[in-house]
Amino acid sequence: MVHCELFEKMAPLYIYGDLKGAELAAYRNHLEACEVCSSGCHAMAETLKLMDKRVLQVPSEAFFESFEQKLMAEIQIQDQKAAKKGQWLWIGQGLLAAALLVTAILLGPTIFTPNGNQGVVSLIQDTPQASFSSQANHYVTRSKTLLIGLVNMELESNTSPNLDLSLHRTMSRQLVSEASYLRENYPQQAKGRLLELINELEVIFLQIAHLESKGSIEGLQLIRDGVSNSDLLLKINLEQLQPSLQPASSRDAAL
Amino acid sequence: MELAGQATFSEIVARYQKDIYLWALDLTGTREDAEDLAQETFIKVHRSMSRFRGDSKWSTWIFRIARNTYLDRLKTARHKMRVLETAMPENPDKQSHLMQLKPLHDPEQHILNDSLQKDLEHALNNLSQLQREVFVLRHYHGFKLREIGDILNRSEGTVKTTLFRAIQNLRAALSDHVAISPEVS
Repeated sequence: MVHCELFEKMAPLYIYGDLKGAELAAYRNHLEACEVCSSGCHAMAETLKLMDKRVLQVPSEAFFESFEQKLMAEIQIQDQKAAKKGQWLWIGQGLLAAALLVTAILLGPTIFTPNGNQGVVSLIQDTPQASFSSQANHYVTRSKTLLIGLVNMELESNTSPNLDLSLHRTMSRQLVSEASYLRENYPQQAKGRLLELINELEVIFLQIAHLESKGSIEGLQLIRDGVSNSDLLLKINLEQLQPSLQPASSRDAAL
Repeated sequence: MELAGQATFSEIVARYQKDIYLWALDLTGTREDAEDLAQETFIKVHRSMSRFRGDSKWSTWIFRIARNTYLDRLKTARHKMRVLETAMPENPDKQSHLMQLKPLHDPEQHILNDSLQKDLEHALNNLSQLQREVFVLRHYHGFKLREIGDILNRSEGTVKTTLFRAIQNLRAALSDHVAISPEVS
């Protein structure tokens, strides 16, 4: 009977002619030896013969001709719809690009003013979550960069009229504007030393901003002397050592 | 006859439209639904035939698309049915909605008059969905067990067992017509 369980599911395969080789031989041997399986297999075959008598509702050839025509027409309609959808997608993308361009053109002057300073201030003012200390830190760092650049500039190789100070002037104007903003928002509880530094830097930046763009070697030398005499870089370094001016990440690391 | 690997869409339609229609008729139970399902199947075939890699036969691939399309439709119909039930919980006609959405397998009127045909359809309809699909694919469409497994996303072993049980159940249901007395299935 154990053999029967192994062989019984092979009956459909045998009837359909799907058994081959050794499997077929083994199944045939079993059928010869087992009357129950032989009878079962025969009954299955009879059942399948009966199922052959089921009338399939096959439509006429005309139906399939019509089916094919309708199918092709439907595919054509869907292709056209897809093409139209693609067109609208292109148009939509074009309109979106145009809208972005117009927005950029309209917003551009607001953010990037011709003298390039008001925009920076407005950006700072538009971020209420930005703390005063981070803004001050940003201001001091940029001031230091500008001043180091000026102090270390090799004047011999930048003789007039090749000396180009336009970038320095632009940056100075921005820093003057930021100094004004920082002074207005200076917290009452903060130490006055930073405020003094901001005021001193503002004077220097005003001088730089009013330098001639080319050939102002003498004026530049005067500014450099001023920076040196007032120990501005040293003061900046000292101010940057204050915990209140260090970035949050540095403070966290220090803790 | 199976189509070669490189076949045009027209060749595919000409070769398989009858098979797919009959398969769709077995799945859906009505001519209208079968025609819709066959059409949707061939539209999907048209869209995706460039991706056919020849790993299987065209017939297996197309039958699988037809079945998946049918299952998608069934899901949508069941979803609609749930929406209707939610929207109209007290609707006395709810049962009629259920009847409309349930796949029908009633034979045509002229077949109903024939007792044997009626019993054959009845026996087939009483099989489980999987048994019915396996049996129809093997008996009426001539697929091998492995191919049926591919179409139905089942293992060959499962298909083999399911086919055996399907025939056992048919044999029990048609015992009046089969000369040999049935054994318990």
